[in-house]
Amino acid sequence: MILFDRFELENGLQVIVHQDKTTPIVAVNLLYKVGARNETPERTGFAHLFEHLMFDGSKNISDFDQQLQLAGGECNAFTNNDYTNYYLTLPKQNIETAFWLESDRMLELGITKEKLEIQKGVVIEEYNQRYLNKPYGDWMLIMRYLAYKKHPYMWPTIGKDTLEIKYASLDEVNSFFYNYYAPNNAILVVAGDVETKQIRQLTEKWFGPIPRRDTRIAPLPTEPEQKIPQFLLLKRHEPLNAIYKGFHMDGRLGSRYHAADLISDILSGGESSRLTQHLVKEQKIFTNVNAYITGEIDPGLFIVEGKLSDGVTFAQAEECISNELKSIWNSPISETELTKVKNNIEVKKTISEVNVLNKAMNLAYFEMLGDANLINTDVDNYQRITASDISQTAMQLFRRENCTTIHYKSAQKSKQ
Amino acid sequence: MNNELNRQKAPVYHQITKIDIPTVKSGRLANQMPYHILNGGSQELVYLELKFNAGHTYAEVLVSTFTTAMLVGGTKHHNAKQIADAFEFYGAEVRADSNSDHAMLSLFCMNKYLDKLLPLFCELIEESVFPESELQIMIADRKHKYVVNHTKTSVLASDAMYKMVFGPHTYGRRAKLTDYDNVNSDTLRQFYAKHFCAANGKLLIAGYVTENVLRSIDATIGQLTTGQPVAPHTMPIEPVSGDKTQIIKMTDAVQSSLRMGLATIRMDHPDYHKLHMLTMVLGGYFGSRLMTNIRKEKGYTYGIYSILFPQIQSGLLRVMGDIKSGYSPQVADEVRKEMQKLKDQPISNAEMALVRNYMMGEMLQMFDGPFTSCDAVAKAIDMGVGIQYFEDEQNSILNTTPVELQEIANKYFDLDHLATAIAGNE
Repeated sequence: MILFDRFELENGLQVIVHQDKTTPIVAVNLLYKVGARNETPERTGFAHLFEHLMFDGSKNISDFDQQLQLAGGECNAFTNNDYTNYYLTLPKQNIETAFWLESDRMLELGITKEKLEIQKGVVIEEYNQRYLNKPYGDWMLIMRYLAYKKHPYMWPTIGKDTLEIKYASLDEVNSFFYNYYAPNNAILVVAGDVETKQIRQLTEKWFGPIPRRDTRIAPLPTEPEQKIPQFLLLKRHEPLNAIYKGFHMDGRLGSRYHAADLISDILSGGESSRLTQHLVKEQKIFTNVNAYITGEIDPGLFIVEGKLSDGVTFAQAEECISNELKSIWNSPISETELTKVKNNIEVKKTISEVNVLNKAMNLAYFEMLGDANLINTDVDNYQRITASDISQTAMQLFRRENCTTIHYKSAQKSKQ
Repeated sequence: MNNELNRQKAPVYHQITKIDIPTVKSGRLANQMPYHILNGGSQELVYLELKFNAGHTYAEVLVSTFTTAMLVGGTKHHNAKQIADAFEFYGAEVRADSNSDHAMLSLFCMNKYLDKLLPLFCELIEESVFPESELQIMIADRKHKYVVNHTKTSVLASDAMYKMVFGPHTYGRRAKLTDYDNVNSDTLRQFYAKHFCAANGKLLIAGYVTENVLRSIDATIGQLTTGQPVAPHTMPIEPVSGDKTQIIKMTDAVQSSLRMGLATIRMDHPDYHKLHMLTMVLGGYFGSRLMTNIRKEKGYTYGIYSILFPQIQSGLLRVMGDIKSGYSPQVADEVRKEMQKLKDQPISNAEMALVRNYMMGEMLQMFDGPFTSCDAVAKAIDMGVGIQYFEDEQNSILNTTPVELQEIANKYFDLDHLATAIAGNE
């Protein structure tokens, strides 16, 4: 059980404090409720570029990292489609440094044109490193483009391509900042050997003077139900044939989210999972196969992907995947299989409570979903799932028309 | 009160001058296998890591890799599926992996399931049978991974760098695709029988380690056959000769990978701590010389790092970054310039303070619970320096001077032998 206190400043900043007396480290996590889904279609990748700029100096502090390192701290951040999360850890006696640093960059940035240009270069190299300069690196970019027609999940966090980032201007940076980086659009979590009273004082002192901002956050379009299966064949220099499939699934708070998550574990959680045992070990259709969920707040995707064994055709591989998915709803899963995936949920939860930073991140995430206490209760949503929930969810999920498929056909195949 | 708030002035921060290094309790199991216990944490989780002197150095190419990976491929009493089912039912994670020096088998599970899992874990160490069918599946998978990996600039550059630095030594050896077809289960069985025994291994136990945990371990792992220790094949490491730069042309690459390497001192060398600190200054943290120069000022990379990588027979100073196409040769020159600068001038007191504080903070964070520190502790044990290493490291961080770092740069930044590999469209 993770205990915590919660309060809100007058400017709307939500604050959560979790006490853990066992550690000399304090974790400070600041979540801004803005992600790639809030971008306009002509400036995709902007939220993530912005995350980089947040480390490039603020109104009163020219070098964020250096000041933190002087206080013995470390930091990082990530952006995804739903939110942007900044986190740092430092020795507990230096906690005020974290408040100083984080509040100053919420107050006002110190971005110049030159700094913006350099960060664009860094982000473009990040794009290249992560998505383009490796085989199959762009599958998720293509999958999103095919699977979504309305919802901004149609582009990845990094952006549709690097050109849009190139054209981002300083004015756009500023208006993005004032619209989204507001105290009333953020959640601050402090975890460690701290007292709520002390945190309240520090928060009032450093964040209190930042004015509430008039944020305008456009409502997101609902993705219409997919009625026709989507398919794309890519002939590439990729070394092996590969299949990627995406099925639309419930959002994070949807009634079938947890069942879908467990289905992905049944299919591919570990060596004993169905896809590995049946399709890799027994039938040798794939040398490697995986299933997982994107886990986003709005309706996301359930992914199945695999690399085909030499000599196996796409048709054979598709049929085998289809049979495996069907068998989840055709024949009820055994009690043992269900207990196994639930045991795994229990272990994952125990591991997630080992370290303060992890706890701070999870508290912020769940508070964004609506209630930080989900950190304690979300596990019940998994434990109460029955075999019949699993089969019903699978039936709903794995419909032919609900699926988007990409085949990478290796143009180098003949060389092997 | 807000009028008093001066945002330009940093709040007072406190220097960390003392870190509580955890004690490691060491002893021997009934069969004389040495163990080391890193106790702590509030969650009832336990991690066991068995290491055998059976890394890549101990055999022909791929033998150690496949012997280790196949430990979960079947025993006299259980097939691969039964093994996976048994561990995964309890959410336990078993990992089998090998590096140049060691073969490793680990188990991570909740305390309450440990007794159920230990007997099977022991079977893997003592009664594996290496079934041909499982081996063929694994070979097919590894070959596919090999093919995919060898289209990556990072893998090609790294392999080339290792070959240049270590030459004929096994540390520089890399498998070829055709080597996978020569793996056979008889060779693996022989390697297994000789190397995976108590006298040739050691055990790290981390987490919530109670008396009961140790008792259970002694009743299972402590009963494994003792066997004989195996000595590694040691070879001298010759400095790189001939061409020290290699460019692997990949016209399709949208980015290039730069990997630089220099064989250097081992972890038990008295200068190691200072060299570690110097490597940190060069490229070990976000504010480092390389990150400042190449990322922050030029925007040519998402990240460029230098690290000191310890191995039993030789340390390795490594620089790595994935670089904007067309700029790798220039960045390689910049790396050499930055190293030369550290030889020419002592770093400023301000930079010294920054690195010192950063490293103390990093170490404090590392010792925040048994699971964050067990990799580092295991490394120290493997390299023969033990937990005392961290006390010495602390003293070194607090007391090393800029002039001493400069001396270390002149002693170890041997630019004449620094190997450079670049893969990409250069």
